[in-house]
Amino acid sequence: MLLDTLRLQGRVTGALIVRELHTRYGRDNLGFLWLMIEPLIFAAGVLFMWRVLRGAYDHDLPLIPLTLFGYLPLLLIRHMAGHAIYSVRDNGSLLYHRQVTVLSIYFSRVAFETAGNILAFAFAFIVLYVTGEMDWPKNMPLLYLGYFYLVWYTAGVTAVLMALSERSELVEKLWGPYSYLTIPLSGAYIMALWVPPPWREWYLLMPSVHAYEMMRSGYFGDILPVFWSQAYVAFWSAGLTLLGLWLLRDTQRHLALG
Amino acid sequence: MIEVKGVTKDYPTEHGAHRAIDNVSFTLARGEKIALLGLNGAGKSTLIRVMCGVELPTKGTVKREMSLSWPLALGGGIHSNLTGNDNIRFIARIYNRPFDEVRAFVEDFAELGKFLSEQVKTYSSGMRARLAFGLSLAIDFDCYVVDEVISVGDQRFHRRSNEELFEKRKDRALVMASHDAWVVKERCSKALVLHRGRGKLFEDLDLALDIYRDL
Repeated sequence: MLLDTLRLQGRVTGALIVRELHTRYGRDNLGFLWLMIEPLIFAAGVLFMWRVLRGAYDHDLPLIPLTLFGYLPLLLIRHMAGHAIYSVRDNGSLLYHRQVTVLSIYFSRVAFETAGNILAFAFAFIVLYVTGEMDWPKNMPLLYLGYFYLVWYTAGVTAVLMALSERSELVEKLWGPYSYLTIPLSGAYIMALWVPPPWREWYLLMPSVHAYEMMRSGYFGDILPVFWSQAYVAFWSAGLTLLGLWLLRDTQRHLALG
Repeated sequence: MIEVKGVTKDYPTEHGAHRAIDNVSFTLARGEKIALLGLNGAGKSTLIRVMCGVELPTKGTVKREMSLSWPLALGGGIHSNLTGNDNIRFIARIYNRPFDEVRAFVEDFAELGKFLSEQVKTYSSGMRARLAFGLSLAIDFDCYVVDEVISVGDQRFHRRSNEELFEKRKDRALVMASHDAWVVKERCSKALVLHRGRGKLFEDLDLALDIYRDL
């Protein structure tokens, strides 16, 4: 019974992922490649500009890994959380099939965007490693762990956004400024070390900063002091996910699909 | 059997909750065919969506002991940004049916030809109806729930869907929102007349149709 339900939900989630691929990247096979190339083009442009404007090193750290570890998770947030807004009503026609639920839409969205981001990450890393722009990470498990928390935190934010955007249009209006304002605060580009002590504590209130610090520490090793608490980011990720799932459970009751 | 018991559905509006259906109950046995009669806005489509589990009732329960199609209506069930073929693939996948079989049936029934590889948003409403209806016939349900979708089609589609639904699938149950008195009288065994969200069940179809005409 439970196994049947799981199998069914697995099939539905898989079908939703394929559907997302088709609607977003078209039917031809090259379309799928964009999943990996699109972020790399963005990243290359950003890298080029930073290089021209600021020189190759920032605070004595290699610029390319520094921006890459900030930029790709930022893309994840933009895609996963940004596209979550109104995604329930946009998929409303699919909810006509009883086995397609708000939760299966959510899980397929999280899986789809995470897989795309991992592919893009791996692709970018291989290209940059082969060309000698990046080294092999010093502490791979820590890098993975930091990335895991970034994905989890983003998935939590996504659940909350997905549910709340169906209740109030204000969410969409506020998400724009919020997502841009929090770029410097997210931890993506600014190491906690660079923030002077009285402000650092405030900076570390942002849960994603901890995950970014873990990733940087995983890549660069112990050459610089980093500041992170796994418990803190885990607490926020779990809290947001639970809140989001609880809100999502109730979404179908608020929905008018007619 | 399907048992709809005391179902009420409210929608939020600018000026408080709007009660789209109010304490509606009926049962449907295997093979039984019921017509839903009512003016526009009487609550037919809402009742259908709640019955099929697309929306949850505000109050009341729906018990489903046979497989129900999704509501066959003009919107819903089909994704307009996907091609006909990709819709077929998606639906075959979530209902666990072999794609080739489903596709072959839909191709034959819907007669969409090369349009199957075009996005559904380029279809006319008749073409959409044919695709949706063909798909649900290919999946094979115990009970079909039809929300006026047949009425948008042409003569040929009418004939073919009646043949599929009432001759080849005589043994299936049917819930049908219809304004077509002939279909109701010839094909259904009871009718639920809906008025402003309230429902009354009739076994006497002539009486039901008379009341519906006077609404």
